[in-house]
Amino acid sequence: MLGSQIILTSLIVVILLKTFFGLKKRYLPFPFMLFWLGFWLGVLLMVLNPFLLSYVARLLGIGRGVDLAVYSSIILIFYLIYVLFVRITNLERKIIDVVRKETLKKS
Amino acid sequence: MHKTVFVVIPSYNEETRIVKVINDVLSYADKIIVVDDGSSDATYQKVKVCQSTNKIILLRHKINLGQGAALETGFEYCRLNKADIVVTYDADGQFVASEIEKIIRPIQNEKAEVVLGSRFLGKTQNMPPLRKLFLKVAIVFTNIFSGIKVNDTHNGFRAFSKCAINLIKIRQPRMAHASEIIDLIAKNKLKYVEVPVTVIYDEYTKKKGQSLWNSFNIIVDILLQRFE
Repeated sequence: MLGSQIILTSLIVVILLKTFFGLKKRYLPFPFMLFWLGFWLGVLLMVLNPFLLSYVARLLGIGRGVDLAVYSSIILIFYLIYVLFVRITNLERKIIDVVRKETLKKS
Repeated sequence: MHKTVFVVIPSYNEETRIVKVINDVLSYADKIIVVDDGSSDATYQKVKVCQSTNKIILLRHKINLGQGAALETGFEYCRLNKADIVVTYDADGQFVASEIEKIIRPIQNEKAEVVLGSRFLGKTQNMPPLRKLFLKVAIVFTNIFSGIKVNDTHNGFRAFSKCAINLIKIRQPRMAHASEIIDLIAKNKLKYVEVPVTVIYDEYTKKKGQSLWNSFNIIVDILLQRFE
């Protein structure tokens, strides 16, 4: 096993453990936690067997496995930013509505 | 027939100016609605003390939500209390209260549904060059997006008819509400006019005004609003 594989595997194991304990404490919705767990298990599989990543990359017409990892990470990050933006905006609107209703009720 | 004039004053940490502003406005309004937007200083207490007449209504947000949200709370109060004309007025004392008469006149004469104050048509004292540049950029930006031409988009001195106030519901909680109002005027095809107003910049108003970084935030807010 390469040094980078050892470092990445250790990091992923920590993330998996944190997600698993979060699953028990229900920090986030159950379906999202399952997706998160599945995602990191997938990443772990790719780290342990880089040929698998290259194989999937070739299937998708992308030259190298590492390119596939970078592209998919960027897509995922942008999607998560979008989801967070929508959630925060909705939450902010709900807070404003609650504060406004309370303010007007007191007038 | 007398049209009731409600003046909405959103205020955030304006303890040194708010009482003077209220006293200046008092003779030009049927009701003054001060919306204290979760101030951390004594703004609320100062207004509470000068609430000797039932002309002054004090509303308080428990937390700071932003000027757009404070204005919308004031607007909602005006809708519920059937105001005929709603004027928005800044709490930092940079406007001249006697110009309220001028800004409501086109609505009283049924010449417009919305009246926008413009500092570039009127007298402006001591405007910092950087502020002028930001305002000019905001004007170009808003004119492109809204499709209507105005001379001053971020001027807090405005007047709305009852019909207009029922159509203009502000969703932008922070400073981007100024551009949103222009958008809503265009979207609802409301008849508007611009009137020259005086804006006085002194050390206090310059300090309280928008920083360049906040200007960037306003542009981001406006852009994000387009994608909603």
